[in-house]
Amino acid sequence: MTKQNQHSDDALEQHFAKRKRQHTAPAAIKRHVLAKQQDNQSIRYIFRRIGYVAVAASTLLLMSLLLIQRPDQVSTEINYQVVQLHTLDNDTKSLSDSINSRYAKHYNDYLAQQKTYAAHHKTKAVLQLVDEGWQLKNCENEVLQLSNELISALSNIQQIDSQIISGDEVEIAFDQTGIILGITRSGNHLRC
Amino acid sequence: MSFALTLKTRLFDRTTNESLMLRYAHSGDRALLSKLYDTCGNDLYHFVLTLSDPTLAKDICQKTWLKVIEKKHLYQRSGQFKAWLFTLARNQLIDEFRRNKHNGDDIEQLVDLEQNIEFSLDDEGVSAVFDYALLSLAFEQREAFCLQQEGFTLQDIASITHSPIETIKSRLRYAKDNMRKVLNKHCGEQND
Repeated sequence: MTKQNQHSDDALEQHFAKRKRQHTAPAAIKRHVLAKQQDNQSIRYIFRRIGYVAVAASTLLLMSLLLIQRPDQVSTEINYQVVQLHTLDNDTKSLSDSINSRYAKHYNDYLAQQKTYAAHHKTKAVLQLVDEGWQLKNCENEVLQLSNELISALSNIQQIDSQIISGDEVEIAFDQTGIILGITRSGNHLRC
Repeated sequence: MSFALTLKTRLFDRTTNESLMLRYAHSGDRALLSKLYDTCGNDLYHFVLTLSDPTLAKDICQKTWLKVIEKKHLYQRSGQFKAWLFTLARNQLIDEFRRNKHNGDDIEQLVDLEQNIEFSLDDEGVSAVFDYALLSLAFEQREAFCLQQEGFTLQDIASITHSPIETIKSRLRYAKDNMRKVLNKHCGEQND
């Protein structure tokens, strides 16, 4: 750059600086800008406040929902546990008891039938008339008392010989369960 | 020594446009915006005024500062605030020119200035000649010259105007040559 150009550039700078001093920005621009900034800040402040309130409200709502739901969950859980344990326990026990009791009953019935069958499944016995009614006496000196109802029932269905008398040897018919189905006079002598 | 340097750096940093803008972007403080306006408001207005007219310059400056308020979060820490501000303003101005199909060369204004030149060659007359010389430049040359006078480097000008550095150099050379010619023509002895 020549000395003349340098001098010329300095002159241009001076003219430019002078021109800048003569043309300053209108004060209205700054007023307008700062007013807008104020509005912007106010709007931001309001939105920020709304945001805080919204967050606080949401948090409260969430906590309320949690608090409302929690006792239900706890009670449900407790009920569930109680019901589950109680039900399972009782069911198991009652089922087992039922099975056991039924089994015991049937076993007792079976034993009684076996005992009756073993004691009385004798086809032959001696009929005796006593004050209480008819009795059947077998070789083991066991006595089977016949009820009037049984004799009546057997007579009705003609399963008891009407000619038999006290001291007669009779044949007794049992079914599989040991129930007397019929009594008839025996032609053979009882041999024990 | 080190402490003094750190203190000086901190104090200096707190008053630069960049630190003011960063603090403003963070806080939205109205006072910081006011300081930024005081620092750069007149420079910006003069730049836009030189490229347009007073009415448009006022409008563009207001819009530019409002952009600063709205887009403050987009300001880059590494960037020079004044360059960012001038880029925003130039973009606004170019958009306005495109909307109105304006080429940035106000012929009527130039004619008025040329008429005023003929009256006197005192200080005001020289200023009028300088105005005429400046405004008679092509838009791109005027723009490059103004930006250089505002203290921007070639790189900054290239960045603001989205042009290669060599182009900027050329524009500046032509701008200064043309202005010298006009000044020499109308007031040669004062300019020298």
